[in-house]
Amino acid sequence: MSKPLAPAAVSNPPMPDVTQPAPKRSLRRFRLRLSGKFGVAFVGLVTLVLLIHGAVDLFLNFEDAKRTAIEVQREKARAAAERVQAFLSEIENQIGWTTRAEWRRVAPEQRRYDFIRLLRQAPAITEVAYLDPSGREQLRLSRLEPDAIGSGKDFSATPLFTEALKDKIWFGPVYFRRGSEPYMTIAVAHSGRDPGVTVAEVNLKLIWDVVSSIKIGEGGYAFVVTSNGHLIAHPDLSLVLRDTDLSNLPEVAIALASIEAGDKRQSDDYEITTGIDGGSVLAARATIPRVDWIVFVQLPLREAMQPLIETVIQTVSLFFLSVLLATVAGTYLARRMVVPIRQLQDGAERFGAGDLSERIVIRTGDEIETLAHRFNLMASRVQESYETLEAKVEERTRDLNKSLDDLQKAQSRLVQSEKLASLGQLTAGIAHEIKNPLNFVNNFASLSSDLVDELQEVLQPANLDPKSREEVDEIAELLKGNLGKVVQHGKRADSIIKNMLLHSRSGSGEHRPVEINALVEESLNLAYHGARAAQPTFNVTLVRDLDPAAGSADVYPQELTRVLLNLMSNGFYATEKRKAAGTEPGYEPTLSITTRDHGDRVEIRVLDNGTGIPESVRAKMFDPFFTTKPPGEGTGLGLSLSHDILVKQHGGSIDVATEPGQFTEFTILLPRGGGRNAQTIVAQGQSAP
Amino acid sequence: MRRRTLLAGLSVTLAGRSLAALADERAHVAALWPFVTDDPEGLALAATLRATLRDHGKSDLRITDYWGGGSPERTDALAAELVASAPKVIFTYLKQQLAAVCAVTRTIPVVSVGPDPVRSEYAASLQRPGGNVTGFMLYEPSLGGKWVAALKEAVPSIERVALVSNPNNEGRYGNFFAEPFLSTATALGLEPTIATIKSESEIEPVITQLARQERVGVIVAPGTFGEANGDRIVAFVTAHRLPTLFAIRRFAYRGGLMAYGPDTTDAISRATAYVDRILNGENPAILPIQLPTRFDFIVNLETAQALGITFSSALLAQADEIVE
Amino acid sequence: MTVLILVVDDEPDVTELFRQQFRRELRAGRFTMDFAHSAPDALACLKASDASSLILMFSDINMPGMTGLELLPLVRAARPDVPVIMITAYGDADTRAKVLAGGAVGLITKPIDFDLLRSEIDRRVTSIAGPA
Repeated sequence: MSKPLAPAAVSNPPMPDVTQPAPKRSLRRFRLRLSGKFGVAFVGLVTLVLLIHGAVDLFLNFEDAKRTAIEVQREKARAAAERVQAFLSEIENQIGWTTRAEWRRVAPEQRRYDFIRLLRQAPAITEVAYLDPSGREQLRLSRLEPDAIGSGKDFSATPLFTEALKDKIWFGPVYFRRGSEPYMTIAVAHSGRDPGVTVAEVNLKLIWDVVSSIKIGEGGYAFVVTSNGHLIAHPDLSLVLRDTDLSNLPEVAIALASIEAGDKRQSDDYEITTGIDGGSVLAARATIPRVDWIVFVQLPLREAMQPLIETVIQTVSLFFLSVLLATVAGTYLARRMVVPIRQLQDGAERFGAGDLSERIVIRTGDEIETLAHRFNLMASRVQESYETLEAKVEERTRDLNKSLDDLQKAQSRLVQSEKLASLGQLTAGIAHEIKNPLNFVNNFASLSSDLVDELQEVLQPANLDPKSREEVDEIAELLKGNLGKVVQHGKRADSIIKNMLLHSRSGSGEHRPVEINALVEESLNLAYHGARAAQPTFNVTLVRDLDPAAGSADVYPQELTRVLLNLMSNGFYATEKRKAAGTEPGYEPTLSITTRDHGDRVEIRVLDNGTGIPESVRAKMFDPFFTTKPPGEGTGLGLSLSHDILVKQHGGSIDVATEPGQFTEFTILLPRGGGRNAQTIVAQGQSAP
Repeated sequence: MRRRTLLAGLSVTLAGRSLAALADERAHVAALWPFVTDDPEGLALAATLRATLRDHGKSDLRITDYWGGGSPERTDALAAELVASAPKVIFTYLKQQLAAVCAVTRTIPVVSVGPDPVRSEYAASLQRPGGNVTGFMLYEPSLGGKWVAALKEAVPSIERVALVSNPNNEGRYGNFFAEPFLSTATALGLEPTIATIKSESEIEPVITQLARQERVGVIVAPGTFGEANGDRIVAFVTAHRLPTLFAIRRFAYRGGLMAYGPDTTDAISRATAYVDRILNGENPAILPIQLPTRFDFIVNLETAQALGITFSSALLAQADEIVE
Repeated sequence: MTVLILVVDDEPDVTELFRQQFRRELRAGRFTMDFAHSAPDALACLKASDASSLILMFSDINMPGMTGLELLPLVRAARPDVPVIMITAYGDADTRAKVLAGGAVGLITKPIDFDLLRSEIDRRVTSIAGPA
């Protein structure tokens, strides 16, 4: 007997797994690549943008810086030139006070006075002299020397006189007093007719203040050289005082060359060249035309380009900082961005593996959240359907179980029936086989008995001595007796056979709906008349209490009839025995038959007021071959077979209530549906007290 | 920009540290003065020296002043002591001091204010000294003539002129101012005398001697002696009612009739720039010795009045400063 | 004319039984009995017998080889005038129907009620041969 289907755990159908070979590894790679992709893309993009920006910026800045620097230099050169120019102009102006046309007519004392004032006003002038129209020195005032009045020194042939008269003003070459102090002679012709000339010796050391005060950035400065390339002004005065010749300096050389070539452009080119100190400088120059000096303004290239360098540094560090930031941010963002995706992935994995318990929690507020939501919905639906499925499957299992049970019941009944059938057939077969020899036994025994009679008849007239006749008679009687016994035992065997045949006879094996009351009635009649046929003196009162609502039940009619017959005949037997005891004069043997409707079951009761069943017997009464009847009267198969028929074939139950010496009542419960509700009834029958 | 200043600051700090490291043996500058210890003029000039050095960024220096006063012996002793202290740069004021130091060392850089080192053969030329001495000259010989002319103009009545000189003015080639003095005096028709006062004690007799002459003007030459004894000279010439022109400016404020001389404070400032440059590592041999550029003419009206002198307007016009 | 009754049964003791049971009649010569132990034997006997002598045949149904039921139609075809009574252990309606349909005039069940048989035979013999 197979075990019933346990309600099996509904296993989730596996999701079709597409990424098959080494899924773990590809998943890991997938994860890294996505966040890596994000990160790299992000960083790459930022880097690219910054690079482009930086490069463009740098390039523009470079151009800009260069242009600016050059412009600035040019400007400075121009400005420096202007300042030097202004210095000279200032002196010129101051000298001019003494070159008024009327000055000639001024009294010498006044002239001297004017000169004193000039010296006071122009600290650069160390010495001033007046040359009369003929070129002779008439007055000379000096800071370092005593005045000379009317010395009459003749300067008429000197350029300071002649050139001054020609050009109104003459700037003499720079000379170095005592080899170290730079001086220049400025001669200004007087205005008016027949002019004289005022000659001033100008200490150019004071230009130094002008020049050195020209601020060119941090490391830049201006310096002035003469048209010979001699340095006359430089922040480092000592260079000046050394009478340094810078004509070999590239910038100076170029400048001198261009001046020589007549290139009189005022504010000039820039150069990136080597400075006096040897470093690379950005140099611009401007010419002071009247004296043919060149003002150079130079700025260390590094400083000129400083803004540019700074920008570069800034840009580059910004770039790196940004890249770093971008990397950090990118990594962070990428991770964060990937986290929901991973959550999705994990969730999908879980769902795929069948774990529908958790829901994916993503609150990014974007499409991924929506996707997660859909996933969850899907999981919920799947879970629902699983549960429904489970429920359905459980139900189905239950149904199946029941069906299995029913089937098993039916099977056992069938087997039982078959067993019965085969047993029946077997017994029938055996019975039949035995019947024949038995017949012969009986027949021949009977014949033999007759023959013995005949022998006696034949011997009757014979002459036999009384002793012999007595012996013969005795033997004859013995023979007849023996043969009688043979016949008797043969009849007994025959009766057993009959009973066996009767009890083992299998019906057609059909079951059909049968009116219970009708069947009971029929069985009762059969039993009664059968009993009466067997023993004409038999009499019993029959009581019928048939419930009209007993209805019909799906039964094996022949078998049921047999059962009822069995019970009834047992009842008859019991009542007969009690009657035969003879101790109760008013005893009336009664057999009551009752039917009752119990909804899906029907009850049949057979009650006799016979001898009852003692306790010791009750336990064994349904055992096969157990009988209380004397030998020859019962086979012991009746109740056992009845029990089997009722319980196993019909799925019903049989119970006995008895009181020894009083009554016996058999209660049969049959399910109306026949085999279908077998199990329940059996269970109930078993659990019934 | 911040980065730039940071870098700059860093480099400056480093430089400063290295410099400080250099100076952290605390570079020693020694100055030898012709003044006595508490002389205000000396202190003022010493303060100028310090201030200028500080302006150049040299604040962490050890500057030692040696006050020799007018005493040559003392000056020599101090010079020796000074040199022994192994300064990085020596600063000397006036000729005696330079001579004293140069007698002891020809290697330690010396920045001198005052004399002509070339004339004293401590330097090869003005534009390229070539040795350890460089600096700024305060006077030129031609001033000898200028002084005569100025005095003559201020006091036209004088017929004689005396140049009160001191041994400091004497060099190998004679008195520094002698030639122009003599020639100008002659040209102006004055009888010139060079009166050399060798020591303090000689001041009175020399001045008294000069005062005996009539219509004599006095020119007091510069130098340590003049610096140290100027006040005494002033007293004496005032007492003798001698019109005196001082080469050293300040004495015009202190009772002298007039003075024509350079701005010493300015000269010391400029010289200190040289000290700074030498401290920065420049070679004194190639720092050119600079000539004086600016002279101030100061007249003391009070003294003039006391002497009964009236300055002409021309003269007054020439004066850069008038003391009243 | 001897009245013949044929008894067909595969069991040999049946012969002895019948002989003993009808020993008086046989001794009296009322009729003769022939015993065939198989269907073919029976047929042979049938052929061999005199047409008029055989008046009755008894046949067991359960026989090895050809059964009584198979024999019946053959006998009926061969000697339609001979009534056949079948003997069987199974007295069920189905067999009875078959037997009658086969042409037998009756069916007796084992154990054989020889008294009934004797009266039956007697009747038939009497009707033919007159009373004994």
